[in-house]
Amino acid sequence: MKSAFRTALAVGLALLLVALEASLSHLLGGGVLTAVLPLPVVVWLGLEAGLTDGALAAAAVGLVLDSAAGGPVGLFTCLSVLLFLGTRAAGGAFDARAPLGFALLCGTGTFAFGLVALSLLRYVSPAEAAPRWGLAGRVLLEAVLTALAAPAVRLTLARLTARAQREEPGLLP
Amino acid sequence: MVAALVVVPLAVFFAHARHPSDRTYADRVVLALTSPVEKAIDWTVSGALSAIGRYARLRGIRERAEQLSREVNQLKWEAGELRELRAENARLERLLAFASSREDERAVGARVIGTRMDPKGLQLVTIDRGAEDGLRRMMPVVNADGVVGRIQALSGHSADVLLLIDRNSSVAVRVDRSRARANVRGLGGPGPCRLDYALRNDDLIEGDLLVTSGTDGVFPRGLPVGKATKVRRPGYGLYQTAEVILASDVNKLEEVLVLVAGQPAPEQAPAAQAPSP
Repeated sequence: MKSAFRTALAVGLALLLVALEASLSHLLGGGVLTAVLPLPVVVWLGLEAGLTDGALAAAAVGLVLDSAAGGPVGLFTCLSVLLFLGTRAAGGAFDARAPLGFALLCGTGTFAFGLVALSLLRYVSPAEAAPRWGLAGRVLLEAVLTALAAPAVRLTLARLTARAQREEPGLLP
Repeated sequence: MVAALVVVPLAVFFAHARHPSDRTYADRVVLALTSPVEKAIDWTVSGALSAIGRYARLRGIRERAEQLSREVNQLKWEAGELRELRAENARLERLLAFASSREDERAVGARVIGTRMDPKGLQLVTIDRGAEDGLRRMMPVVNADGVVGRIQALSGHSADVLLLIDRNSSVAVRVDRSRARANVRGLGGPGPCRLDYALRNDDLIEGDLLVTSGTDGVFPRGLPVGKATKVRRPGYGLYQTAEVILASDVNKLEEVLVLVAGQPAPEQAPAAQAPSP
C-alpha cells in the first residue's frame, strides 16, 4: 500500500514539477536557466523506497521525463532507474537525508544523468545532429540549479508522506 | 525486474533513437496532464506579476499625483499672483489715464504701505513717497476714482495722507450738474461723509455728482469727490444736508497720485450759472 502511494506520489509530483519547471524556465530567463526538478524525486525514491517499487516509481518518473522532453523514448526512463540505483548505492556512504547531503547527491546525480544522456545521444545521433560537448556546461548549470531546488522538493515529499502516513488515534493498524 | 527496467527502456531508446517518430500516446497523456498545471502556474504568476506591475504603476501614479498636486498649487499661486498683477495693472492704467487727463498738473505716483484708521485718532494711510520725492504738506492725494485726501505729515520717503473720511477733513465742492456750492466733511469713520453748507434753495438731488470746486486752496477744481444721497431739506434754516458716498473707496486704496504741481485754477463760473446782476 505504501509503495503504491509512494509511486503515485512520485509520479504525481513529477508531473507537477515538470509543469512548474516549464513555467519557471519560461518566466526566469526564457529557457536560459533550466533544472530537472523531477530528479530529486528519483533520488528521494533511492533513499526511501524499496528496490523493486522504487525502481518502478523511478521508471515512471523517467517516463514522465521522456514524455516531457519529447526526445527518443526510453532514455530518461533507463537513466532514472540507473540514478535510483546509484542513489541507493551512494546513500549509505554519507548522510544523504540531510538537506545539504541531499542537495549534493541531487546535483551530482543530475550532472551524471545529463552527461550520460549527452553521451548516449551523441552515440545514437547522426554526426551532424549529435549534441556537442560544449553542452556539458549547461548540464553543469542545470545540475547546480537542481541541487539548489532539491531541498524544497524533498521537504515537500516529506510533508506529503508524513500527512498520508499519519495514523488515526484509536484505530488498530 | 530492476534490470529489465534498465534494459528495456534502453533497448527502446536505441531502437527508436535513429528513427525519431511522432509523439507517442504516453507523450500526449503527459502533455495533457502537465499543460493545465503550466497554464495555472502561468496564470498565477502572470496575475501576480501583473498585480505587482499595477501596484508599481499605482505607486508611480500616486507620486505623479502628488507632484501634479504640488504643481497645481504652484500654478494656483501663480494664477492668483497674475490676477493680482492684472488688477494692479488695470488700476495703474486708470491712474495713468487720470493723470494724463490733467495736463496742467504734475503727479507723483505712490503706493499705500500702511493704514491707520483708529476711531480714536486720525484716519490716515501711509504712502511710500515723502519729502525727498518732492511732496509737501497739504498736497492733494487722489486716485483714478477721485479725491482721497491730503498730505498730513511727511518724512524723507514716506508720508501720511489724511483721508477725506477723517473728521478734520473738509473739501469745497460743487454739484457737477447744478454748480451749487457746498462742503464735504468726514465723519471719522469709513462710512459716508456729510455735505455741509449747501444752501437750502440750491438744486441738489440724490445721485448728484460732487466735484472739487478749487476754492479751498488745496484741491484743484473738477476732481470727483462723491455722490450725494439722503438729501434732507428741512422746512426752516439756511442749509440743506445730505450724505456723501465718496468716489474713491478709501478702504481699498493701493496706489494713489499726489498732485505736486499746478495751483488750483481760479474757479470760472459757467455762463449758465453766472450770478445775475
